[in-house]
Amino acid sequence: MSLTLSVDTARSSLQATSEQISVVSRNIARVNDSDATRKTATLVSGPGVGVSIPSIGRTSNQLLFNAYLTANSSNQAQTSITSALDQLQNTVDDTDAEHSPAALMAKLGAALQTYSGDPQNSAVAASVVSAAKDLSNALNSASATVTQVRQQADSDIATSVSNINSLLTQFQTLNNQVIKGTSNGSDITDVLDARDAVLKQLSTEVGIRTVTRDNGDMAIYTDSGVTLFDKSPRQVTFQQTPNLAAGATGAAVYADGVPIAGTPHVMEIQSGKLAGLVSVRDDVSVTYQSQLDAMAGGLINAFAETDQSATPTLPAAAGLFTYSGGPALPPSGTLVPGLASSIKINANVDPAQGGDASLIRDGGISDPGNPAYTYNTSNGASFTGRIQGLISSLGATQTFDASTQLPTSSSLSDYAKNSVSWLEALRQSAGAEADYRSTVAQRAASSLSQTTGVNLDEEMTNLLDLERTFQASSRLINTVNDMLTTLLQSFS
Amino acid sequence: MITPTFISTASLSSETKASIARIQQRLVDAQTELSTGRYADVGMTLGAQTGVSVSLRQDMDQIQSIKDTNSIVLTRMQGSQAALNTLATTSQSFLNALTPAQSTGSIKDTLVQQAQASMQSLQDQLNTSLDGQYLFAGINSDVKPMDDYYGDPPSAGAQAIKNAFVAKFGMSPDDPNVSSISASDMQDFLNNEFSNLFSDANWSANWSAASDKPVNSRISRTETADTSVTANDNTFRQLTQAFTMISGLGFQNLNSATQQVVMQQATQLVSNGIGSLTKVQSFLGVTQQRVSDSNDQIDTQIDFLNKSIDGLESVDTAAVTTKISDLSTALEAAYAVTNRLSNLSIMDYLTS
Repeated sequence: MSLTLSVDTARSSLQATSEQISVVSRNIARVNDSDATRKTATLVSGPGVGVSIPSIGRTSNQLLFNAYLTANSSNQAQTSITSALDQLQNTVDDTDAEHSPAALMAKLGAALQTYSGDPQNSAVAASVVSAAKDLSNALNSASATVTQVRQQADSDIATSVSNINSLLTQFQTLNNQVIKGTSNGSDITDVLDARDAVLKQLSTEVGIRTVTRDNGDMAIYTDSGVTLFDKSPRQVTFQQTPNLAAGATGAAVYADGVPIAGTPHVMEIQSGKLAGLVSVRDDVSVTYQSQLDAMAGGLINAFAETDQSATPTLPAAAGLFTYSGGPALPPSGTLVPGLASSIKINANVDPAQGGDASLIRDGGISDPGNPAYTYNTSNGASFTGRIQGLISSLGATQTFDASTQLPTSSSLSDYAKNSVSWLEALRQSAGAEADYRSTVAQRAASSLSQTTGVNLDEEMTNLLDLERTFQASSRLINTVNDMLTTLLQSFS
Repeated sequence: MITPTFISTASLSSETKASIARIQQRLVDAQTELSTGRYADVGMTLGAQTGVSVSLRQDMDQIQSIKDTNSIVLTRMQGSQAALNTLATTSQSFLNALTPAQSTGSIKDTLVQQAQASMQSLQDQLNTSLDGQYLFAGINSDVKPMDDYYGDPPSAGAQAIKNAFVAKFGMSPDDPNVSSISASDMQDFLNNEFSNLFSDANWSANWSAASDKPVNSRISRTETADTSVTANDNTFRQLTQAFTMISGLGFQNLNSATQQVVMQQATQLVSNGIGSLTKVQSFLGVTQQRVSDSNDQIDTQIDFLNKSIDGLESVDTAAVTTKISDLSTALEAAYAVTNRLSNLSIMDYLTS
């Protein structure tokens, strides 16, 4: 043991301490960065040469990290669905506001009842027409809302796909740096943080699983097992559909040539924003759209006019409500896509378009002047037979297409009511699910952050320790220097 | 350097941030609930049950409108009843005049005047209108049912009587020679030609523009009822026949035996008419009763529906108030904790 050796050791301690302080300062600098992990500089004491810091460590927890990725993906999928359902719910609105097709149907029924009490009054007839117009407008705008929700989902899918592609490209760069750093032993902790950050963002878009190899290389697969990245990024492709009107289907999303969403396939992804958006576009909205179409079809059929001749020869024709295919009736009980968007008031009965509102009482809306469709043959001003008939057919049992997921046999107003129930039930369960998943995701994020994040207090106390070590080592050098000086002086 | 219980500074602050946001969201909802008395998001809270609430409101709209139309219908029936009452009084006093006239024969001139007045009253009552609707016109409510019998030119009915008279006796009813008509000839005329003027077809052709079909109204969700009496009812035909018999066949110039025949026939018709008028009135009365019963029932239903909607959608105000105060306390606590945490830094205790 010599004094020189002591100075060497003290010097190595000074060096190591500076390096540790630099790690502390890195930690402190990124204290509020949720992607940053805590770095540690571990001292190694070698025989006779003091201390050294061979490498910088990184606090990571793969288990918690994977839990975070899964929770985040499933939360994002549910969030997309909930927000789409909230938009669809605008077509129903609060029960008290009475804007839903169901409520407006009841209003039309009430207007008809008022008209039946005062059939001679053309102002009351006009109020029936305006109630009918409110209803057809509500169906039109509800259908437009659904189309808009689908269109929005489709364009969000395109955004999501381009995000995935750009994230995969970023990932490639970072992954290469990790592989290189691992082989030559340089400090790659910050690169690893950046690579994990990309994975976190990727999990927002699509559910993923990762596999790490010995050299630090990482491969990414979707939660359904399709390769997204292995040595090089795989192309995720999607073709946006310009017009997603009722009945139109959107394109599928492909990764590495395999369909991962938008078409039934074994490799369908389960989570992530992409999965949620595709489910909004192809599932929930489509069903709701078909319910609106069924309502429109039911309305047109309920208000249809039949041949009143003694021996009927003419087919039944669209009356108060008609559509682009009128005056022929849409088939009852079978879904006709797009009816809700094209249903309208027959111009022959609309005073605003030069029509005669009292045709509701008399019949003949489909073909004014044609005696075959005239119900009020004696032209009585207080004839209520047709109006009563309309009130009854509004409440009569109809058959609806089974694909709309609602009871197939019910009255029109009950069908509309069931549709409200269907939507709100879905919204309630989706809301509860979203609450649950967001709590899980938040918990996962906070567990990850708690374990791998930086604690300022700890860094500060570490800094105190390091300061002490630095002081002590400096004092040691000083002391050795004093001793050597004393020795040299005693010789002179 | 890894301590057994470790927590990162970021998670410490993000945790309080998240909890403050959560509490604020719930506070906003609770405040909405307190101000409206209903759930902040009815659809979200009720879920599949929302349809029940929608359906209750549909029912409410429907029966409310039935109640509204019922009150219109009731007013109309009351108007009809009033007209029928007046007609009953008129007919009764005509009958009262007829009976002594048959025995004494002294007041035959006034009898003709009374017949004319009664006829006038009959057509006035049958032409009663309410809000532009003729109450006795059946479904042809926009058409005045009775033409003016005394109008100029004379109504089709008056003309038809005159023509029939001329065809039978070869002279006009105004001719003083009508005194030569025998009682048996007059009886024959009254029984056949004259009575035929009031048959279904001739009544509609000459006298009444009303429809045979009475106005039909829906008075409850399941019931419909005929809520008017039309001028084509046999009652009115009998009365018209009796009134015109005295006023339109040159009664004052007939010989007394023939007058006797006419008066006997008229008496019979008027008393029959009064009898069936009572039936018509009681028919309307029964319908009025049905409508007002239905209205009472609707009031009960509306009450029930309101309660059901309340039961589904309304919140317990007391509970919400407590919830709000709990949430405010929690929010204050969260603020206090945030403040404490931000003050609690090792930096304040480290001396350089």
